[in-house]
Amino acid sequence: MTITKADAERNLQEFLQAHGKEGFLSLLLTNYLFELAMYYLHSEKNPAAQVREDTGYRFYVDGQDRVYRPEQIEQFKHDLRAECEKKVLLIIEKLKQMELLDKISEDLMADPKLVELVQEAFGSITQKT
Amino acid sequence: MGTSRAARAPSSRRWNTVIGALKAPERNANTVVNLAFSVAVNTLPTIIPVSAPIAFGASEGIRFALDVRDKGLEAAAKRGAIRVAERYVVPSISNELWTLASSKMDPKLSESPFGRLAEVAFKKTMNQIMSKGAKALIEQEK
Repeated sequence: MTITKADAERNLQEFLQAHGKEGFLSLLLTNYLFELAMYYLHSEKNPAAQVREDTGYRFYVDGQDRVYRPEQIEQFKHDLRAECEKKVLLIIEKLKQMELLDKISEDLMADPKLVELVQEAFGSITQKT
Repeated sequence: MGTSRAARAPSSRRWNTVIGALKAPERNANTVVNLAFSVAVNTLPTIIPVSAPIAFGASEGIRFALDVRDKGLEAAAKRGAIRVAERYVVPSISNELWTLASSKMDPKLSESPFGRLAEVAFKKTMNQIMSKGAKALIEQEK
């Protein structure tokens, strides 16, 4: 189905009305942390002969060297995403405490002090959830 | 949607704990994510802050969304000099908005791995919202 300008406008307005800026940030950061997790978990460390000790290999092959079924891999990705969402809640909470949530639509990255605060809020992803 | 970019693993023995968690008979996403972020963020070089590219995207995306809410899409697009393709309304807006966001960053940032990941996440988010409306977030939570 083709989305028209009117559809896009209505959908954006509906989203903001229902979830606000916080909802926008929650969806964006969850998508980002998920991409970040997939990036890290597809990393390589070893020469080809030791590839079985790479996360990029172990993401798809279990400890008994059996390849995970596609539905198991999809379920795991779904679970990873849910975990990323938990971490986003921590980041947003921190941004609220720093009174940065309302400033997010401004050019806050132009201010080095605020850049540091945003990075500090992101540090929450290393906290256990 | 996942990716298969071949990043270099963090050069830390602690990364073996992530591999161990992935090899566990009942692998647990909570353990894997907690370990992966903890080891990676504390080990990898932090010349480029992980938060920077997505923060630029967040500002641009929210500003555009608020403009659309207050003035409508035509006016919001005009204000940002965003060209909307009639046949590909949603992807063209997402793409133009990211171009706008990345034009405000140092190219080292937008072209870094974090910049590329932020671009994917940003375009995906805008596409989800403009295509699905309020359901975009509800579907995520299911």
